[in-house]
Amino acid sequence: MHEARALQHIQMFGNRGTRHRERLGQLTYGGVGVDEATENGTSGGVGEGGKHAIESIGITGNHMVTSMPTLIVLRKCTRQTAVNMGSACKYTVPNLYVGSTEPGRQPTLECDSAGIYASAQPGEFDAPIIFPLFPTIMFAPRYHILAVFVTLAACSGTDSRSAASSATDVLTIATPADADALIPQLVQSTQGKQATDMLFDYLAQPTSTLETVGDAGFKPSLASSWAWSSDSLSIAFTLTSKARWHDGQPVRAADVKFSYALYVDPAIASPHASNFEGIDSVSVRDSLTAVVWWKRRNPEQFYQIATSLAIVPEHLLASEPRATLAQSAYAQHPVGSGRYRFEQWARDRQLMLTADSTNFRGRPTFKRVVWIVSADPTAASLSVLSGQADVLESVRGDAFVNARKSTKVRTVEYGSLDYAFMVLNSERTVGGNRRLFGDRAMRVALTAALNRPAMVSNALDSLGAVALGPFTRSATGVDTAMRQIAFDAARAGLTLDSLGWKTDAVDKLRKKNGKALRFELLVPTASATRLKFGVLIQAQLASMGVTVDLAPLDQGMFVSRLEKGDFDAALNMWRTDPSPVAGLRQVWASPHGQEIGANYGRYSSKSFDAIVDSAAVEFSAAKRQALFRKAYQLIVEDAAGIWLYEPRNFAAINSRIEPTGMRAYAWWADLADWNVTSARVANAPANTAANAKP
Amino acid sequence: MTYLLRRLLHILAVVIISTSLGFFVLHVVPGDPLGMSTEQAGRSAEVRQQLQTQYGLDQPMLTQYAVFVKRAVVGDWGNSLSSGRPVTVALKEALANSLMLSGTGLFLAVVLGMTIGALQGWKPNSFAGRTLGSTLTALYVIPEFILAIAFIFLFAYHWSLFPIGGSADPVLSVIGSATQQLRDRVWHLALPAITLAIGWGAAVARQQRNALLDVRGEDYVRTARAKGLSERMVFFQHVLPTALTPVVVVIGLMLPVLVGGAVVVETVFAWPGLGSLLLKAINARDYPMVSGAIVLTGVVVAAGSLLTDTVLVALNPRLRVASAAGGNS
Repeated sequence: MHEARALQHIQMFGNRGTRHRERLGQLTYGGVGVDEATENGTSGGVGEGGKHAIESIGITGNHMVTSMPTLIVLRKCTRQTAVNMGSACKYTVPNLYVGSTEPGRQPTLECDSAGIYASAQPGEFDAPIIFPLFPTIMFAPRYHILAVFVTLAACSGTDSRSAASSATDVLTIATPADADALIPQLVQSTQGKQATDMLFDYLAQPTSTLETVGDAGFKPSLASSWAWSSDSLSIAFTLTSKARWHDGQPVRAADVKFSYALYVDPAIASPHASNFEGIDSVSVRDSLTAVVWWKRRNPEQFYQIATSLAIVPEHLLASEPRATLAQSAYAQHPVGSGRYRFEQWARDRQLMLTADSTNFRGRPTFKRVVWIVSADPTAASLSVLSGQADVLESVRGDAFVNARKSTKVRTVEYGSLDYAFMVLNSERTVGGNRRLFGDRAMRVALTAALNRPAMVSNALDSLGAVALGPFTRSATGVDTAMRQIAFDAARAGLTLDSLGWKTDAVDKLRKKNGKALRFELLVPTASATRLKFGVLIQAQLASMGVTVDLAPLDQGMFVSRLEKGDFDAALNMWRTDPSPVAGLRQVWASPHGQEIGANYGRYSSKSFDAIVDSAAVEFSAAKRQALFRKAYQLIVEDAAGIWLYEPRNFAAINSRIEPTGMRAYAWWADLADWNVTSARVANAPANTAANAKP
Repeated sequence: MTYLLRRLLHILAVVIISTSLGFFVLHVVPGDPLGMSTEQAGRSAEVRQQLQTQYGLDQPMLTQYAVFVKRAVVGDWGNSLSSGRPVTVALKEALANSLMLSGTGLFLAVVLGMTIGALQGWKPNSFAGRTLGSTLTALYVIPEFILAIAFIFLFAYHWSLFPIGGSADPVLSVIGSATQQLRDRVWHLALPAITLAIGWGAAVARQQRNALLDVRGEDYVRTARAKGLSERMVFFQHVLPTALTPVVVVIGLMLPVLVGGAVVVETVFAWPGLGSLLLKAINARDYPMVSGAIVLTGVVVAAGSLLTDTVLVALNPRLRVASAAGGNS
């Protein structure tokens, strides 16, 4: 019976090739059977981490082993299995490996497909599935030799391209650093954020135009709907009943409450705890409804909870000691509810996620997403140019030029939230001059003395733009035409003269009371661009008679001195928050005693604070926008910092991929739905600008 | 025995001094492990205080040193401040990778260097010896970083013979068979190991050549020839063993790089070894990780030094006598 059904499923599509291929055909003729199903409810089905019987395996093509499509038919095809399999009890896997050919033992098969992993324990996906062959249907002994041959053939020139030849099998991202953690409450690195955004879900998802006021800019995610209370002090989120953790358990409202508790627990010391300021509590109304309560209403409360609260499973984390969460077993094998599930993490080397084929939002385009750590930028760009990696999130300089010329990759521009500026320490006594940069006129004079467009052109060519203020052009509702302090060396000179800094006739240096106008400028050595800007600033100010001593520092010393206020001026860069309130308050709100946040220059303006405070509680979109524009204009005219540049972000992406929805705050936001337009490493003269901004 | 004991005590002293120095230097250098980026530094004081207490960073330096010593003795350095994972596990993985890369590189270097050096030293005017020697020297003077990038460009990017970086294929390392994984590892190892081998091989070759040139004119070599021994016998039985001593010294000097000296190559080829791990840990002021790496490196280097001395003593009878005399004194 078993063999009869197996034969029924054997499919062969011709013997078009060599004798070897004919033998492969014969090899499949007998079919391959696997005995008893070991389905169990806890570990789920194929793609759910459970073992399943395979009734027969027929080779549906005559390719070499590494790209051999294989039809697998489940013997016990229950309804649940069919759901797990993607509504079919037949499953075609793209790759088949033949191994374990020791004398006296049966060969084993390993099927390479995101949906064909099995494991006895939920969450264990490290080992490849190995389907044991049973004596009822087996390879004839003579095929053991053949199996050895094909196994060896499979091994030659092995890489992702041979192991996974389909265009949608693997998306490889070359990244300069490894993720720091895979638990959302602990993540700080961009790489960690990328991975956790794919592993875990949020209650709602921002649409492509990120509007932080109200809920109009959001679409359902884990929550299928939500309802505001009449006083707007609470929002009840109704979770979709279809959502499942990757171990098969349903996602419940209790998970939402638990996740919030983790974020704000001091024992966790989450770097994101401050994102939940103003939230009073989270309660559970029923198993699928979680209610978030605020102490007072504010225009961004929906944005606050929807984008900050990643939901983690209570049933797996409740028993973990909070203080050592980062060292827990869960931290090494996280289980989420996102469209990708965890597969493997080799620290400092690679991180691999695999598609959750049973996710309620549908199967993602790529079966696997892999981050490959490549710290050297040249090697990273070559890996994308050669097709060994698919995505490099930022290319600059020569790498950008090569990427533009290449037919294997496309360069895709997406928005930026980064802006670089010279921070001036307004509290510092510089060269005996108390609070030298506390004087607005001095700051304005230095700004006017710098030809910023020329510097941007020199250091970045067309890959950057002059920064307009403490925001970027990608921010919502930004007025790019606002008044700026223009380059005017003559005016700058006159201002300095008026402040008493006269040019010495002998050495051409500006002096006051016999002391030269001279300050130290800290530059982080990790940033080649800022080093270039440092040199250019030094040269331009030297022509004005101002001496700048460059101090290149490693990142640790740079930040340490900024924090302590032990600096005159520094070239800093900031990735602003999509919310203008958070973005401005983090860096430019007046210090409260020792609490300076990231306002290292100790800039203080009561007018600015008042405008931002008013904007923060303004519910009218038009009035709010007007207030922010006023705040921006004030801080620009106040020359709180010298706004230098905002880089233009260009990603290098393999030509076969058509990315969509690359956003300034998260280029990976819609990665699960990126399109594949052609075969892997196709020649396509595509250099398009998707979401082109600025 | 006394000699060995003396050497072991010496090693212990070296390890204690070097690790203590490493600890204090790292703690004195400005930089806060909890504020290595401007974003981290912007964290609330409450959260930072909590983390400082959690990691014991609010303790006086001497108290932290006492904890460090205690942990070093039991071989447990706690968890990394930047990744949260146990330092011992991270070091173990990185050390294995480093030994694999540098060990292969050193092996290739010794084979390559000794072969070319022997050829040059024994037949100094041969075309092959001169050509190979000059080529190796030319490659030797190219900085390792440039050589690595050039190799990647030619062999990985242009000709696609090797992967551009990494220590294993991401997919095969999960689903590949043991054979496939082994071949894949070798394939990934080849280019970085050859890059290392070229520089080190040139050093070995020069040392081997000079030693052979010195020895081949010695009286006892002439005597051996006068006895009627074949050139092969003269070379292998009389010249080479004596000429090996300086080569062993050079190889011994290279042993420290096995654990942390291939930072550049590791970085360019994205090889997750101990050198790149240590560099990242220093940049992040990851005190536990740096402490563990320093102790590990110190022990391995000192052990390498002991091994070199032992081999030298075995090779050179005069050193044997000297060490015995030193041991008795």
